[in-house]
Amino acid sequence: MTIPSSPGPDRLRRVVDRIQGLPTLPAMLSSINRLMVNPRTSAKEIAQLISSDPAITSKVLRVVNSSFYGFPNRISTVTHAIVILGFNTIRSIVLSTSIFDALRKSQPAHGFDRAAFWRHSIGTGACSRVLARKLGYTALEEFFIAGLLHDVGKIALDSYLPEDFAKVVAKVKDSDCTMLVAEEAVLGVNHADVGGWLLQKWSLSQGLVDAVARHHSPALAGENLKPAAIVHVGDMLARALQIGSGGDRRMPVLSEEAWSALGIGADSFPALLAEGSDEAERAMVFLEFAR
Amino acid sequence: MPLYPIDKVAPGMRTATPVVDAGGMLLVREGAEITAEILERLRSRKIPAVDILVGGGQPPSGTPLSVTDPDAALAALAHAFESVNGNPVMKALYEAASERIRAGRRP
Amino acid sequence: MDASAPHEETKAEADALRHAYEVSRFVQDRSREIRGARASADIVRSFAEAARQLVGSGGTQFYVRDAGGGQMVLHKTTGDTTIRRLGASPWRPPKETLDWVAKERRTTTVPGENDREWHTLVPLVVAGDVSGILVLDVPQAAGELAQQTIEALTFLAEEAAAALIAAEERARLDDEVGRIDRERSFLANILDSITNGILAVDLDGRILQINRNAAAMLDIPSLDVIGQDFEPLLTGDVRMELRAIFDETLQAGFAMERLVTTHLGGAEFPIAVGSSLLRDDALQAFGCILVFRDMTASREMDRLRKLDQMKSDFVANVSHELRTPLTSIKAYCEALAGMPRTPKEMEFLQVIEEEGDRLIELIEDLLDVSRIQSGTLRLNLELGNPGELVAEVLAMPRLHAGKHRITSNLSPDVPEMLFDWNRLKEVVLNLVSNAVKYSPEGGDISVSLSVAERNLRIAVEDHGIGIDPADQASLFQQFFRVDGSLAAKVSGTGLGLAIAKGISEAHGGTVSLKSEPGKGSVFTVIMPIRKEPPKEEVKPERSPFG
Repeated sequence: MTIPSSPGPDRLRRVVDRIQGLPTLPAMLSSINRLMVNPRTSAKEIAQLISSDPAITSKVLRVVNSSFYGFPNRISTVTHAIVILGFNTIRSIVLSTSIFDALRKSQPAHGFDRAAFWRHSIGTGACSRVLARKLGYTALEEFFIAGLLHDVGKIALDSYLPEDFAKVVAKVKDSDCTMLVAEEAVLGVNHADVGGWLLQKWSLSQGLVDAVARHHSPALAGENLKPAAIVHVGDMLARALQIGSGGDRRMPVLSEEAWSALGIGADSFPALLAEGSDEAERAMVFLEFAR
Repeated sequence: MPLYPIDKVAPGMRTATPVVDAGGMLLVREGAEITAEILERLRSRKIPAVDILVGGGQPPSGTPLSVTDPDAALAALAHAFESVNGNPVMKALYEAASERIRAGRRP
Repeated sequence: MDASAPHEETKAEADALRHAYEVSRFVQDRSREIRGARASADIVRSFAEAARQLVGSGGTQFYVRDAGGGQMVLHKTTGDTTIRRLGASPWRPPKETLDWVAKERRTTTVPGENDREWHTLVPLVVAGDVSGILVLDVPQAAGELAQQTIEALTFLAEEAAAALIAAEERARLDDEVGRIDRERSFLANILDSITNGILAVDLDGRILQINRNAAAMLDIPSLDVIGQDFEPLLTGDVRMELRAIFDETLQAGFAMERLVTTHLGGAEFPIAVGSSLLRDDALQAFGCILVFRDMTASREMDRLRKLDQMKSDFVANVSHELRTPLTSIKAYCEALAGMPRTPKEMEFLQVIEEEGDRLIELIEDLLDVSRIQSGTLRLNLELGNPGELVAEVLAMPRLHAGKHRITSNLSPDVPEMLFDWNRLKEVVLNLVSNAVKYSPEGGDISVSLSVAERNLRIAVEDHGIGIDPADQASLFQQFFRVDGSLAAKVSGTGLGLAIAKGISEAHGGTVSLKSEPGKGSVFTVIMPIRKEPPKEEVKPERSPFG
């Protein structure tokens, strides 16, 4: 068993310095963020901004009208979408579609199944969302995104360090270990560290960065222990439901700190799995953006 | 992966990609074997065509099989949990998940 | 770049900050007000007023889940948005939207009939379940509302929802208190309706509960003695006895029931006092409960029962004592009859003998009755054919002295069965001779024997004077004889039917009667057909020691 360690900044730097030409997120995201900082911004103003990009607009409307949200009436304008689902929800939808868009362009190396990967990511997002709802959180989209992006480091490695990543995939295949263990052995850093670094580079919120960077070591997440713990367990739930694959066939080790931080009992698993499975099925609408 | 028009899709074929309907609802997971029941569902949702896996190739390595067969799913689950079942919480998760498979409630 | 731009930007930021501060202060004040309101009407009013100031609305609707836990139904509304839309019916959220809010537990703002009218729906989450939905009318395009306004509205609505839940909970608690009060008086009514006296005291002897009857029996003038020590309220023997019972109960866990005599208004009343420990849910003793039974009534019953027993014993003894001399008298009569006598002497001797026989018969009847009554009638069960028995009875010459035509109808399927030949013969004889006696004009008497549902059925039918319905019920009692001129002429002890009934019952059967005055009577004996002795009568043939 390998206890996930926090790599020294040097080790991480040595790896990520070799990652070149990373995609960027659309400027619209930072514009939305800037608008939302001002409390007097109206839904109409945000909607005008989003509507300036027809591709994003159509994706947002596609998602808000999907069974993932299941709103009983058709939502035909972005303004309606913002008012009905809330400012944060729409920002999260824009963010997630943008991320799919950015990563879709990167070329997959051999031996790593992107379709299964995204299904696992969406499943983890859905399960994290279910967990967050059970724990009484209201900003559920943040947790969906955190789950969705928890393994984004694997995509970065796959696309930008394909030779190293091919070794990782080969090691997983040979010794039937987890990706985490193989990455630590091959690279000295793992996909969680790389994912956290990427999200930080994209200027996403510290909560999101910590939840992704610490999803295998929630105890090190500091004040964001709970979000990291939610993604940690969300990942377990998605694996138990066998939704897609993160690239390995083994369960990672449960963090006791994470489990006790959530304060739920093991008897809630049947209900969590049932809800997670339903939610994941509805969330598969995002899969089209990954193609 | 060839795109088969729905009237050329037959039971026994395997999907190459997940099939999602116009509302974003997942109808069939990728790698799933088409059964008469699934075919009926695809037709009723007006799915025009399906990506079909040719050559009966296995999914890429490292990917758990997209198992429709409960026995294979149970075996994959048992394998995944093998090394962590000493933890009572993980054991409970394992049991809850296998119970779902046994009860036929598959994602 | 324009030099004034940074200055403009700073100004705008300061503006936004000031605005944000004002809104947050407003929200704080209002939320304090909402939380301070206790009645749900006040909460909704406070919220509606705050909402009016934020977005110019006043209308709210409050939905709660119906009793079955299913649909959301409109509970109350405040404010009238209807004035604006004169004549139109007020907007109500569609069921699907309510369901969606309840399922998603998400505060949302949805369009009303047009783009200039929106409605914010806030789920009320209690213990993980959505128990209600608060709807706020927003009379302007929600798209133009500032983010902060929507957030403030949502926040206040959530505060109102929380306050409403607390108010509903308070109302429920008040109901609960009322229910407990009702339950308590219900229990007190039950206690007071019990004829026994009940006194519950704690371990220190302080009264926990006392009912009306206990107060009456113990001569305690008021029921308002809860919390008082029970001893000083009592006097004399009662005080000592109850103290002793109380101590004994605390020590041993129980006390034998005992009789205590109380004095009420100069008269003595016997009461039986029983006691037991009072235990809580954890079986820990916390007091003692004393139960008082008024023994006045049961003493009277006891006296009557003893009297009845004495009478039965007396009848049995006397009958026995009478039989011995009578047997001697009969024997001497027979001896005298064997000697040469004049016809006159023979006639007198016959009278003596006949009267002696009647006396013996009467005494036998009396003995039977007392055996039946005391439960000591023993049956000598043997296999026999009831048909033969009936034939034997009908052959008796004494039944054919009058002008009656006695017929029998004996079903061939009557099997051999267990019964006491002599006793059953007595029953049939009694019934047939009754039929003869009460048919003074003669006529047909029929005796029928059949099997009905595994039971033997013996029916004796006459066409005599019949029995008045008023007399039918008491007919089977001892010494009962039907009044009337004819009945007076008929001899009899009045024991026959009582004996017939006793013997039938000893065989596990019954005797019943159908009769109409002037038309005749049918007496029917029904008894189970047994081939083997009943279990309880099976005795071991030999003692294991014998």
